[in-house]
Amino acid sequence: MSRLASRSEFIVALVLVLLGAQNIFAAQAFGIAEFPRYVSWLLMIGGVYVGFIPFVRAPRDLGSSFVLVIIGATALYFGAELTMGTAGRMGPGYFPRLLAWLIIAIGIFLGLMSLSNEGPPISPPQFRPLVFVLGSISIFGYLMDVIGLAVTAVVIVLIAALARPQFKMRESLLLGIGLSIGTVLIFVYALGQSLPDCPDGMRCTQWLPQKVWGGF
Amino acid sequence: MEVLSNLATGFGAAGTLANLGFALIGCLLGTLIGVLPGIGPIPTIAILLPITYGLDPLSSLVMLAGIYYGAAYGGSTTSILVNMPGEASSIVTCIDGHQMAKQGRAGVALGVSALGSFFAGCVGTIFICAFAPPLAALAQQFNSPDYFSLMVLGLITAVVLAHGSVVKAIAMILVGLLFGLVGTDVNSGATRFTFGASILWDGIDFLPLVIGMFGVVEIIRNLEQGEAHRDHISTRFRDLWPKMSDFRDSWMAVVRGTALGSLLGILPGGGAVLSSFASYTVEKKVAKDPSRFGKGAIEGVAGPESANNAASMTSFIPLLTLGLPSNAIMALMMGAMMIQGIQPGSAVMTSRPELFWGMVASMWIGNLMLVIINLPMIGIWVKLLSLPYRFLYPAILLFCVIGVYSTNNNAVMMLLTAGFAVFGYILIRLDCEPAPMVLGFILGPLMEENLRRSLVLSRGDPIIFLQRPISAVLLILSAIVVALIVLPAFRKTREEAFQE
Repeated sequence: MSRLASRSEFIVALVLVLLGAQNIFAAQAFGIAEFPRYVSWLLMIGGVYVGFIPFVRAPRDLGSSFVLVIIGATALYFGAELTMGTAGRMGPGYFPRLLAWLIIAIGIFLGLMSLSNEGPPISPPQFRPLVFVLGSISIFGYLMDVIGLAVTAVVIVLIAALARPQFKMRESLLLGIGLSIGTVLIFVYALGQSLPDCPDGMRCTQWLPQKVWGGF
Repeated sequence: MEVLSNLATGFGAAGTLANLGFALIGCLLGTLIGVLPGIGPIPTIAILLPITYGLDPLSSLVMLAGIYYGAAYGGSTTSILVNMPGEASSIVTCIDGHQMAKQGRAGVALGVSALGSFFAGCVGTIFICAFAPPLAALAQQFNSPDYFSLMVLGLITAVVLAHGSVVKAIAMILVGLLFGLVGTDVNSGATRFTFGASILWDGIDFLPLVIGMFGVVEIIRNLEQGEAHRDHISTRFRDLWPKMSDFRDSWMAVVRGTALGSLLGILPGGGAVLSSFASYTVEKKVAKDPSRFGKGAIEGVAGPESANNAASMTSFIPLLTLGLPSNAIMALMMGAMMIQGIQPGSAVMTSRPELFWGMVASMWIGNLMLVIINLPMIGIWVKLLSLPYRFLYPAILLFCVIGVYSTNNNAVMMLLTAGFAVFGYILIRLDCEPAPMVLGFILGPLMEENLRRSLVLSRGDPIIFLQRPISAVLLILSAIVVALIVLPAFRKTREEAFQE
């Protein structure tokens, strides 16, 4: 790690911690908060971890440590209003706090170990699959509410196909249409799940003569 | 013969034509998804869970059992044919199974593995019938402190069997327990960690969590690896049926594997992984010529395959009698049962015997279906394996999203799924195995309730866990397991076992 790089990390760390501390202080003393208190805590925790980056030898463990501490801190923060109770009469806040502290303890332990144990680097994420797969999942529900399964399936397959760099329009469109027909038949008609398969929550079979389908 | 009359009840309930059909479809679908490279039993079951929702409880359990065994068998098929284990328990099958496939004996390996698994399944069913009632009777004497200690033991042993860092596995369990607490606290009515979202009032839904963290993450991971180099096997499947000599070579291994698996499967935290590794080691030890192992020894396939199937049967015993899942797959099963309104445990056996024994019978039926459909269909699975991934993943993704959405037609569920996918993805990137988290997630509320009750009994004094004999024994066992993990000698063998 070059000196310049490590220095810039220290600066970032310092800025994050100070920003968080300043906000908490300002909120406490003058009642002015630029952003929520929770964010201040996240900034400070994040700052501390950034400061450790130059010394890390097992990045994956430091990363796990960060995730664990954030989870624990989040639980403590949002569980602060839950009644603790006593061991003999546990309130709703007792077990969550116990878990949160255990998680934070393990997180800190992992973080400290990551400074001495050797470990592989974190492989950088590939954004293409992440974005398109997650994107198709996220919009699925909203599309379903509006246009129904038959069209949604085609759209979802097309978006999902974009997750691969070698996207082929015709092939994916054909696959989408095939899967659309298949899933509508299986889920809506064979399994009888109450899914809208056409726009406005209608059934595609509404356009077919009743006697053919026996009023599906 | 109580066992026989119990079994008769079970087969009477589960053996209807409709249920047999569901078992068949379940097996088919389970194998279909399970056979896809890189998709292990956990994602397979997660993806297929939603289709069992609409059925009545028994039928859905029957179908689930079919899916479960289909998924496990599909995993073995992939291991043998393309050397890609979907999960830890099939790693062993890869060693000799894939070598056999390379020698043109893929059919024999698959056949022996199917028949060995069926034999193990039959023995496992008898095991469940014999051991479930006494264990359930024992469970009646369990009090809150005992349950709590049992959960501690189960979670700790599960940690030992997770791969990778023990510390991270413990952390994942704790995170799972915490996630399990989200929602309305049954005792006080207070809502916890709902962030004002009404969708979280009843707790985090099981499906978005498992489908996001296992199904979707699996897809993203496979896509990142690109069109991975696959070790293709272009053998003819002429000689699918094992010859007499193959039977002679393998039947002892099948019997040994079955015995080993049945016993190890009952242990909390035990299950398929442990038993398949153990069986492979035993086969290697008893073989006249151990050097054949790793080069396509049929015993190296027959033993572990029987062992992991036997174990996957008997690991139902703690779930069905004590209501405690011993590994992530059992946690999935328990989640599925709870969605059907069944709280697994000894009460089911007495209050709804037809459901309980029907389920046991359905496991055997699932095993039978597996042999019936898979021996003639191996050729089809092989064809499926050669389908490019770019045709498969959009279909799998579509099944995942429809599955989640169809549970309550709520678009917010999809965002939750995507959120868990991101979380699961980050965990994988950081070498944190997400499987123990499901176990914690399922056990979270149970553990809190039992801890609360125990401490109410003792007025807040934790010594109660050591005063009650059952609880004390369980905690001492847990301490021994912890000591074993910490001891360097054992640690080394564990690492070696996962290396292999």
